[in-house]
Parts: sequence; C-alpha cells; structure tokens
Amino acid sequence: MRRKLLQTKVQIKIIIFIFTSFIMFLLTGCAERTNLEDLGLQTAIGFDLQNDGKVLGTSVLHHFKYLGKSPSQVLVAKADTVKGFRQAMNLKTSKKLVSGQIRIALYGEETAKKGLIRFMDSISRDPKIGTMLFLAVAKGTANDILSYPYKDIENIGLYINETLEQNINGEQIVSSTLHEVINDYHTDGQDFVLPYLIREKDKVNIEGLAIFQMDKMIGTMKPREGFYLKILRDRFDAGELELVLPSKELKKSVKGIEIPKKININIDNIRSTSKIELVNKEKPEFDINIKLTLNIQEISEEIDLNKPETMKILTKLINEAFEKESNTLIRKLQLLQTDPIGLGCLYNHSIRDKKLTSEKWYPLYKNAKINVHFHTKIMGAGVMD
Amino acid sequence: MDINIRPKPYLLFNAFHLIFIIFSIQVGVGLPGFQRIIVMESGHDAWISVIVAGIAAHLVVMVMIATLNRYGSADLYGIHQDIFGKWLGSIINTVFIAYLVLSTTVVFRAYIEIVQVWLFPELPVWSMAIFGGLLAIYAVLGGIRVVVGVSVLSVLFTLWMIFLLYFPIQYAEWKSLLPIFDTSTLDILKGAYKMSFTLAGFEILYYIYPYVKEKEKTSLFTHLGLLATNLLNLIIMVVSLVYFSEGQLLKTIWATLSMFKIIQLPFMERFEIIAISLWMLVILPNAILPLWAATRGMKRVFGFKQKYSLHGIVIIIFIAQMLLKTRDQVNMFFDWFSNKGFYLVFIYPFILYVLVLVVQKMRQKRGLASNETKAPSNKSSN
Repeated sequence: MRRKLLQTKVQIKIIIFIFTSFIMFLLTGCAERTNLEDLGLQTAIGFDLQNDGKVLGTSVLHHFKYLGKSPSQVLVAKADTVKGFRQAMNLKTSKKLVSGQIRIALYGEETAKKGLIRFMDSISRDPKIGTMLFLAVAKGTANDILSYPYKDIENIGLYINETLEQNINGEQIVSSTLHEVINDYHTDGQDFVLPYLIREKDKVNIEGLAIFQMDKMIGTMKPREGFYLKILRDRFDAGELELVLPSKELKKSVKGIEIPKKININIDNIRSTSKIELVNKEKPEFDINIKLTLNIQEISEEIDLNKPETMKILTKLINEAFEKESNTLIRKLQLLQTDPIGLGCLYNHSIRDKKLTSEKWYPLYKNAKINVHFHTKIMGAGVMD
Repeated sequence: MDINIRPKPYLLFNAFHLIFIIFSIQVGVGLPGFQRIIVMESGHDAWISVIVAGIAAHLVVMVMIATLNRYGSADLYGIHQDIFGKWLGSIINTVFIAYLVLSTTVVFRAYIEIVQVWLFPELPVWSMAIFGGLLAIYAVLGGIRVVVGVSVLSVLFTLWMIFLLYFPIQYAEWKSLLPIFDTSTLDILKGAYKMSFTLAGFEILYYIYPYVKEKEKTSLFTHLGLLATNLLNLIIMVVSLVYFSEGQLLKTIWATLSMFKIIQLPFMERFEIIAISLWMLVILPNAILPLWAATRGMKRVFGFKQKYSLHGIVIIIFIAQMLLKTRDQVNMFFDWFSNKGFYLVFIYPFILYVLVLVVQKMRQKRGLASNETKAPSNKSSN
C-alpha cells in the first residue's frame, strides 16, 4: 500500500516536471522574437536638424540574404524627436529596424554648430546601442554623405567605420567613440573633437577634425593639427610626418654645391609620451614635456648622417619645428576657447576644494601660459647609410 | 521553541561553504548600480567609502559571531526568544521575518526592472515574478543543502565575469581619482552609509549558523567571504571611477552594466544580453537564502510547516512585486527598505550583543545566588 503511494507520488512529480519544462519552452517565444532575415540592421545613422526644428534622420541598413550579396538600403525620415524618425522609417521598410550594430553616428555641420548633446544623450540612453560606435561630423549634411549612391562602396556605414578605425589605429586622428566623447563632455575642463568627413564625388574622406566647445562645433582642424593634438594629449604610437627644416645650421653637413634654404624630411615610427604638469596654480601655467623617438625616412638633400654633430643639429631642428607647430595649435585652441588637450581637467584634479566648471575654466585657459618642450631622439635612418 | 537547534548531521554543511554563501548573497542587485549612489555623496573619493563600509561590515560580522558563540548552536530566533521572552521575542522575530521576505521581494523586483529596461521592455512583471517564485520554491523545497549548493554554483558560474573589466580598463583615465581625500570626512561616511544596501546580506549568518559543521571555523570563512565581496566592490568602484567621468557616472543608473556596453561582438547584438541573463544566477541565492531563513522563522516562531509557509510567502512576494508599478515606486520602496535595513543589519547586532552580555551576566549572578549550575544555553522556554 505504502509502496504504491510512493510510486504515484513519483509519477506525479515526473508529470509536473514534464509539464513545467514544456511550458517553459513554449513561453520562451513569448518575449520578443527576432529572426535574422526579418531584421534591418542599422549600420549608420545620420542626423540633420532642419530649419523648422525637425530632425531629418538617415539610416543605412544592412539586410541579410540567403544567397548572394547582402544589399544595403538607405532610409530617410523626418520627426520631431531624435528617436522619433525610427517609427516613421519602419513604415518604409519590410524589415524590423534594430540598432544594436550601429557603428557610426553622423551629424551634419549645421546641426553640430547648434549643439549635439541632445543627440548624444538620446543614443547613450538606449540600452540597445553600444558605446563603441564612432561619432563624426559631415561637411554639409549627414544625409548627403549617407544617402549618396556610391559605386564602389557596398555599405557606407561599415565603410566609414573601417576608415575611421584604420586611421585611429594608425594614429592619424583622435579616437571618437561615443563613450570617449560623452566622457569628455561630462569632464569639466575637457572638450572633445570629432572626425570631419567630406564627400568628394564617389569617395568619403576624412578632411580633418571638428573642434567643439562644450557640445557646439566652433571650428575645424587640419589632419596635421590633429596629429599634434594627439601627440600633446596622450601616448602616441607609430605615426608618420613630413617636416620642413631651415638649412642654415646644417650647411656643413650637406653635400653638394648649391644648398637650398629649406630641407624637407620625412619621419616615421614616431612614438611619444606626453607629460603635462601644472607649474603655477594661481595663474595657470603648464609645462608639457614630450618625449619623442622617431626614424628618419627621407631627406631631400644628401646629408652625412654619420657625424654626431649633424644628428645633434638635426634633433634640435626637429624639436624646434615640433614646438613651433604645437604652439601655433595651442594658440589657436586658446583663442577659440576650447580645450581638447584636457588641461582644465588636469587643473581640476590638481587643486582642492574648488569646483571648476567649464564656464569658469575658459577665461582662465585663454590666458594660461603653456610651455611645450620636445625631447626628440632619432633612432635610425632606414636601411641605407 | 528550543533556543539551540541541533540539526541532523546530514543537514550540516562544511564551514568552507560559508565563503560562497556570504559572497553570493552579498553580490546581487546592488552591484549593477551602486556606483552612482555612492558617488553622489563622496564624489571621486567614493572608493574610500567602499573601504570604510567594508571595514564596518567586518566589525558587524565579528560582533555577530561573538553573539552566536555565546550560545552553542542557536539562530537569531532562538536568541531573541531567550533574551526577550516568548511574547516580545515573537514580535521581534516577526519583524525579522518580514525583513527577510521584503529583501527577497526587493531582489526579484530589482532584477525584473533591469530585465525590462535592458532586454525586454514589453515583458510584464507578473511573468518574471511567477517564474522567479517557482524557481525559489523549487530550490527552497530542497532544503538547506540545496540552497547552499545553489550559492556555490552561482559563484562558480559567474565569477569569470570579473575578467570583463579588462575592456573598460583599457579606457581608464587614472587621474580622475586625484586628488585623494578631496571630499570631507562626513561625505565619505555618508557614502559608506549608502553602501549598506549593496553590502547587506551577511546577516544570513544569524540563521544558518546552526547548520555549519565546524563551528570553530565560522569566523575565518565568513570573513573571507566578506573580504571577497569587499574587494570586488572596491575593484568595480575604482574601474567605474576611472572609466566614467564623474558627471557621466552620476547620470548612469546601472554603471556596471553600462561598462559592458563597450564589448562589441560581430555575431551578437549586445553582450549585456548574456551578462543580464547570467545575473539571474547571481541573484538566485539572494532570493532563496532569505526565503529559506524566513520559512525557518515561521516554523520556529509559529510552528508552521516550512512547506506551507513557503508557498504563502512566495504568494505574498508575488503580490508585493505587482504592487510596485513605476520606476518611482520601485525607487521609493528600495530607499525605504535600505534605510530600515541599515539599522537591522549594521546597528542591531551591536545592540543584541550588549543585551546578550547583560542578560547572561545577570543570569550568572542569579544562578550563583541560587546555586544553579545550569548554563542559560541549555534552557528551553517551550
């Protein structure tokens, strides 16, 4: 009798187990279902603020296909809010739009000049969007760059992403992922820069960097200035640069009868570490010391590089050239009242009991004394003597 | 009700498991988003608050173990009965049972909130609440050894996630920690006070102590577990402080989860989907350990069979979760709970210890006077 009871008890348990697991499996379908073929993966989104206050959104989609090429599609819609255009876009496509793979957010120049925080906030608020997507500013409108029918580019979103990634890894421009930009924006005494893109017929190029004050674009920088910004800002690994040096002091080492006034040299393998120190707290004064190692790749004149004194003079000339260009850049940034080097942030972390806001920092920064010193070491000059 | 419990030998677990129990119950729904709350008080010195709060927790645990050592194998319910007598003891025990039930509610509701925001915005509260409840019933019905087993597995399956911090560390800005001690001592203490919600959980020792096999090793392993949690909290806090800027951290509700957002994989929409799903394993011990302790209390205090009170409590928890509808309500409830929890978890053990000392001293005097050699621990009030 008792054994029988036990048996039925076990049976009931088994039935309950099967029943609950059955329900569990069924219910997994109750949450949002997503089939890859039904999705339109957004790879890039562009924002342009219209004159009537509406936002023109452009998004580049990547479709999955069973066979053949995965086609891309561009959708354009207008809405009042940043997120609103997605709804309008859904009406225009057979696929469900998802935003998890957005790799680039592009803003039109006019939009950037009016302020980007509204757009960046809306993106960073969305749990479905990662923080490693790149932000960039388009010359003209974002719509123009994203919706142009390129001949050779399959998916413009991924293309721009790769272009930026390649150049950031190659130390050509400052990295501008959403996280870094938002981080800089929220740091008092630190401004961000974004890549500045331009479309030339069938190609998209990085024209330079867009300079921001708080969240408003106030100017642009050439790639060369971007290079200096990167050197001043933090560590630098493996870059390349052309320099023009005066030949006066090198006269002795130059072979040949006629000596030109300028000597062009090309240096590569540039590695640098920058150390910024606040030397005066009352009247902000900074010392930026940059240690630099490089290889000489090309010299326009024949110079005897074996002589120690030649190298000494060359090093001195390179230092001076770097210092001159850095100072020009810093002066420009000071006049524009924007601080992408992050001197204000350093100042803020070096003083106690004073809460520095960006508004308070800009006037201080404008008159701050910034001394740049380069300490170059020439490692070699290629495989030839 | 007996003050000391002598569980059957097969119900006991090794003291070593206390590391996992303490660690797994402390790491829970507090960890995904504690940074913002602490930073609000102590700014970029928040990590000092974490250390201060950790030391305070160690002190509390020392007092708890000292209290428990005064009895041989008692739990909190037994001690209350002994100190306060039957009626007052039962009332205080009920308060503690209510606290345990509420803490399970908070854990489940907070997790549902995270799932709703991060994964499935359309998911209704009741569906998750039902499955959480069923899972909790299933685990607690297995008894204390299953509950302990779940804690061990929970730690082993999820500890690897700490290596994910490698990704945010690459973007660390270490100078944001400077200048150290920029915040006033008061603010640092305020921040430490706010840590109580994240640190709470180790009070479970009061209830599971009788089931520890080697009681003399309790202290060692409990402190080790606590130390592990404190180190984890500290590491996550420091990484958050250097990864985010202060203004950004103040706006980020779940900073720990937001740090996962930089992990980018070509074959997966978002990595947080995995992290948050796995978090269910992390919070499971948070839910079932107090639940088990609460049903123990129902049995010890009111004599209810654990099985029946378990079902009753889970239904109450389910209803409570349904009552918390909006984010505001949830936040208000959490604030209220963590404020009250601070007194029960961090202050009360000291009071109890003093009371136990006083009562036992008085009894000793009286016992000497009346020539009674019986130790108070052998007394039973039932």
